Amino acid sequence: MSKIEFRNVSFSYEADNKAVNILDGLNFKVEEGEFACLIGPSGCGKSTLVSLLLGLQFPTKGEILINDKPVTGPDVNRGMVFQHYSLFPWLTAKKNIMFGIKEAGLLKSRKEIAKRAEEYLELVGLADSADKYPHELSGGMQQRVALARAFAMDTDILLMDEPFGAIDPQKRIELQELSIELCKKRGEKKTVVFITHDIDEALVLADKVYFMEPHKIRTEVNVGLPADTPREELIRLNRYDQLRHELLDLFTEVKVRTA
Amino acid sequence: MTDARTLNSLETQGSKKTYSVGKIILNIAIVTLFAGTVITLSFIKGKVSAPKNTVYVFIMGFIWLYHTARAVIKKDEYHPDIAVLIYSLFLIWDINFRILGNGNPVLSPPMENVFEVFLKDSQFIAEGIGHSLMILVIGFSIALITGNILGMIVGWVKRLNNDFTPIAKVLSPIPPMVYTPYLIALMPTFTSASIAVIGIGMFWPIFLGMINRVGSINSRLIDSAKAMNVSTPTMLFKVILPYSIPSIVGSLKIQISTIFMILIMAEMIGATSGLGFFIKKYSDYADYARVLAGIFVVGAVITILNVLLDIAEKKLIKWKAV
Repeated sequence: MSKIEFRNVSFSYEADNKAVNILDGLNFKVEEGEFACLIGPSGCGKSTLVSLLLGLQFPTKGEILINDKPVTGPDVNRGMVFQHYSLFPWLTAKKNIMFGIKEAGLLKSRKEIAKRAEEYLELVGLADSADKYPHELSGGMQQRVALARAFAMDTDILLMDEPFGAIDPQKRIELQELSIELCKKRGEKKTVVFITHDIDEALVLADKVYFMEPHKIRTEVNVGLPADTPREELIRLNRYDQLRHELLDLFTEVKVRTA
Repeated sequence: MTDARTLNSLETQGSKKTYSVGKIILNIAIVTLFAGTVITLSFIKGKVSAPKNTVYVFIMGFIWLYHTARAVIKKDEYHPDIAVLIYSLFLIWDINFRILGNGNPVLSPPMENVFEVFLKDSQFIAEGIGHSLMILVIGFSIALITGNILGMIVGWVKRLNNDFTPIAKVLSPIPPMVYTPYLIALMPTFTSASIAVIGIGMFWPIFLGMINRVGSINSRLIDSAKAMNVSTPTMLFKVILPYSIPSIVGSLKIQISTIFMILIMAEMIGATSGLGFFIKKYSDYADYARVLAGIFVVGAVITILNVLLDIAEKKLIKWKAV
């Protein structure tokens, strides 16, 4: 049994009386505890795939199974980190996390919820900013809070839609390291679907990289890089280079075909 | 290059500072000159009698104090234009209508007499303000609570939105003045009728405003809430409502003037107390000194309410959209 399974999923919407195909007969499986990166050119339907998986939209054909049950809407077993603007601007960092914990139904008492929120803020290194509002935090800090909220909700599955897309390279690396730590090193491994268009980000984070071309998954790549290797060593491995070229070639090929 | 620029900016900063002290003194001198002239003139006996000028002098003095304080606090940003304009108007009015006796003293009473009404009729005016504010607060609270909550629900639930938006679009443009006499006849007391007029008159813009707000809320925020699997009540009261509060308070400031328009109009039709009644009553007696005093009071009350709303907005809303 796969944790997540897309069976022949198609998605289209109507615009000016014409059906616009986004996904067409897509098949895709993610195993329990796998860190899956979806990579592909812009406009290939990556975000739609996540939105379907989250249950905000529904496939026009085919079905999506999570734990062998079809997706009928958002559920507490899935957490989400968006690219930006996902924190509630009227709540402080801590209250934002508390909101998530409360909605996940993990804890009942306000005291325990507050304590858990503080723990996760500490974990992402923002203990000092607990009482700041999102507009007082930088983009990177906001994304840390969003990560803390998603992890504090302790969902089985974590969906991330280009969570670091709008962040400068140095902060981006920090946040990637933080994600690895939160996802992999803390006891039970989470099932993660992570969307990116950055090849290095995918290789550093993923167990498996799924390359998406418009409408469907083109191919999957087993990364198989040694775990617990520092980033500097990782990117100098031959295997890393080889994977990188493989993915770059795919990008070029898909671009040529769609051009 | 850099040095030259720093030097340059230092220089302009330096000269700006000396300039600003001189300017403050100049501003205060201008305001004082005008205030002094207006106050001195009010002691001169004119063709039209003005037995007392206590309140007039007090108010002119207050304007002077306010503008002097602003000149000191705001420094370069302060301009004496408004003070000069206000004093000039009083000066022209005083010289023309009171001292020289041009015009009809009934239609253009001396401002000394107008302001003296505040003291003479202070109890009547205070009661009027109290009564008007009571009606306003009750009527507006009803409109605010029902309009926003119903607007939120109708805006969120598509089916209700389709049903009620067309109805609201037909009913909302009907001016409250049209149904005011009917409501006064229908309701048991005038007070309840005024409350109903304000409640209904303000309900529609608030209701439609909230529907629009829900429709234009940032979809990322909604998705983010949906991703956390929130229930509909949570979505409405913990996400959409807090998100809307700043814009609700913002439109409150505009609505305050509209409400006063409806209220004063309703009071002019059938009240036995209140500011509108005060103005209407003395218009009927052609006591225009009191009418003008009443008009000034209405202006002052609206201004004070607006200032209070501004303060409340700053204290209560600490967040900004990201």
